Parts: sequence; C-alpha cells; structure tokens
Amino acid sequence: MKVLLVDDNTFNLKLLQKRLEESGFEVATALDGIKALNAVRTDPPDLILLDIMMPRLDGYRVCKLLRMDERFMTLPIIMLTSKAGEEDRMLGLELGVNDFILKNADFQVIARVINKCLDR
Amino acid sequence: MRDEKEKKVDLQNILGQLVAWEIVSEGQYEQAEHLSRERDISVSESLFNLRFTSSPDIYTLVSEHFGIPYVDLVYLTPDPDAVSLIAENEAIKLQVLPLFRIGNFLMVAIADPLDITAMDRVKEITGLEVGKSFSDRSLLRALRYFVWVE
Repeated sequence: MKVLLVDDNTFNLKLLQKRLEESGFEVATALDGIKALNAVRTDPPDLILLDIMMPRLDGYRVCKLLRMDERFMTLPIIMLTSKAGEEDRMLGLELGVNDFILKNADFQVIARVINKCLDR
Repeated sequence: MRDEKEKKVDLQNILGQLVAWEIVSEGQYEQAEHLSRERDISVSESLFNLRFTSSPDIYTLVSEHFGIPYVDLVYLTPDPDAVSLIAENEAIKLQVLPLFRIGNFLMVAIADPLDITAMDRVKEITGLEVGKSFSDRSLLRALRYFVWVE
C-alpha cells in the first residue's frame, strides 16, 4: 500500500515516514500542496496523509481540488492536524476529508486510522 | 507587470528544463522547435505531438516553476456556485474558469498562469481573495460547458 505523506515540516515528515515504512507501507513524500497534487497526478497513492498549514497551497485547497477530480473522488484523505478545533474539523469534513489525526498522536493510533481508511 | 517578452523568456526557461532533466534530448528539443515554427504551434505542443514527452511532464514543470497547481478540466467539475460568480462573457474574455469557493477564497483555472491582469479583474469582479490554477486547452472546452449560468 502506498501512502503519500504531505508536510512542510521535514522533521515530522521523516519521523512519520520512517514509522510508516517500518510498518510495511510504501511512502512517497511531498513538502507542499503543489508537489502533493503533482505527485497524486503522476503516481497515485492508495491514501494521503495531508498537513493543513503549508506554503503555496494549504491542505484544504489540495483536498478540494482532489475531491472535484473524478479520478480522486474516493481517494482516502486523512488530515494531519495540530488543531483540534470543531470549525477546522467541520470544514475538513465538508471538503471530503475521511478522517483526522493529531500530529502528536501515538503511532498506534495513526496506524489504526490509516488501516480503517484503507479498509484493512 | 510582466510584458510578452518576459513571459516568453520564462516559458523558454521551463521548457529548457526538460532537456536539463533529460526528459527530452537536445536533438528532440531542436526538432520540436523546428516543428513549432513550421506549424505555428507551441514548443510544448510540438514535443507532445512528436511523442517526445507526455504532456503531464510539462504541466508538472510549469506547476513547480510558478508554484501553482495544474488542473485537468477533462476530469474536474467546477462548483456551479463558483462558476456563477463571473459572467459568461467576462470568463471567456479573461480565459478564466472559477472552480470553487472556500469562505472568502476563490480558486480559478486560468489558461495563462502569467496573466496578472485577468487575476486582478477577477478580484475586482468578485471582491474575493483569488487563487489561481492553470489549465491547457481543456479550459476552452470547459468554458463552453460550464460558463453559461444555469
């Protein structure tokens, strides 16, 4: 299963990439929303872990563009967030986010949410 | 504001990257330039017609270079509420298609990513913060389908 991990924080990116790879996932990475969209278009993943606050194009806009595209309407998208505000969650759900994970969540929780979204 | 000459230099640089990244060879690039002059079409279109590169390679390059997303309007359906924000004649004149609105932000697809005048006009018409994505000739087709306000 291929996961596209999108985060502008390279430390968080590398850390989560390592944990995901240790758990058997193939991981592609992108440092901003533009790179994420290009990566999805050229080599579609099975699931996206998407940060919200990013340069050039934020996670909400990436999510909206993907959900408007008939090729990626059902691609599972999990938002990585340091925010737990109801408004952010509501907006994410309206835009078609499948689930949310707090960035500082335990990896077991992260893995469980990913597997749930992948129906495994 | 950027003039036409500057635009051409920019696009030339991007296409030059195709050679630097070994997506096409120098010989292939020269052949495409020749075809472009002969048929009065763009170098990128010539590269695609000659099957030296798939067009997504070019779109990725342009997207990275300008820091704006590429959208393929063959697969993407704009939100009707966003489309209705700009009158048909303006949209066609500006070669701009509204895609979606999130709060005070409007995302549009534009044929020319360097057309600042069109973006300013969209801001003026809608009063919204406007972000751009770019599209190719599929924009023209999409404009015909979506721009009439239902």
